[in-house]
Amino acid sequence: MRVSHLIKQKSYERVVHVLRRHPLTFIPKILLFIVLAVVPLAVYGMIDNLFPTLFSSDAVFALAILGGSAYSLGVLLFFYQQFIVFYLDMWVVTNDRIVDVEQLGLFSRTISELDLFRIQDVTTDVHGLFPTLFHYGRVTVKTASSNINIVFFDVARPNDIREELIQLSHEDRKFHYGTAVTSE
Amino acid sequence: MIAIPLYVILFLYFLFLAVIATFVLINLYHIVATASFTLVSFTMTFFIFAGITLVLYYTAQLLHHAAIDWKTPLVLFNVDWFRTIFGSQPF
Repeated sequence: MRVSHLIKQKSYERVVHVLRRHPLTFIPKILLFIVLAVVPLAVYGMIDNLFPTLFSSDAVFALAILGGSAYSLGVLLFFYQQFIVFYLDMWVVTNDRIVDVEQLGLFSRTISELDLFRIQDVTTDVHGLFPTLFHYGRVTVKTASSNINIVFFDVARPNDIREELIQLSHEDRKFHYGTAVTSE
Repeated sequence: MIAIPLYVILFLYFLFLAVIATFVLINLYHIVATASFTLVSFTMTFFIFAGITLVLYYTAQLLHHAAIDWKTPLVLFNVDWFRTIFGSQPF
């Protein structure tokens, strides 16, 4: 499936950006995965030192192998699911609207959209050492309605995106109202 | 005494494999359904499938080389465990 199909792209619409979270924000999950993956080896080493004859029994050995295997598969699945939740959070910016696809879990997804001409305010937040060094942060898009706000979490180059969104919003206003509404 | 043959654990393991396979396929479906099948997601999917293949291969190898008798009874509960709990002599 293509992005155009996902957002049901209109004939006059052009996809400007497909935004996802910055890859650096996935590193804590990778570190957690490495720690979890090493646990069976550490446990095996510990048991082998404390109870050297434990694995000589057929039943215990089989249980240890199957248990370790199930644990490893569980960790791999957990990591894959974390990746899905990370990677499937995306924001599609077209010359007409913003489509926000939020993957909250394996069986939970929210899709919302916002017309560009309704945008009233775009704010960027870059907080912390890594976001400042690697240029990623949050972009909050607000409309006049208090309940329709879209937030791009941890996207790369938030300031460029903000400027581009304001530009696109002006162009969309021209298209819808025939004239651009200039901000003070 | 309550005991089960060791192969029951093997069947439970196979059941767990079926659950894992189902969830991996659901994740894969999400990637395809949200137009996110890119080089990044392909690489991650490849890594996960390679990891699963390696884990299954080594599990099979270890079990095969150990030549386990799957009919060995696995004791889940034995009254004798409690008879000697307060000393070496039974009640």
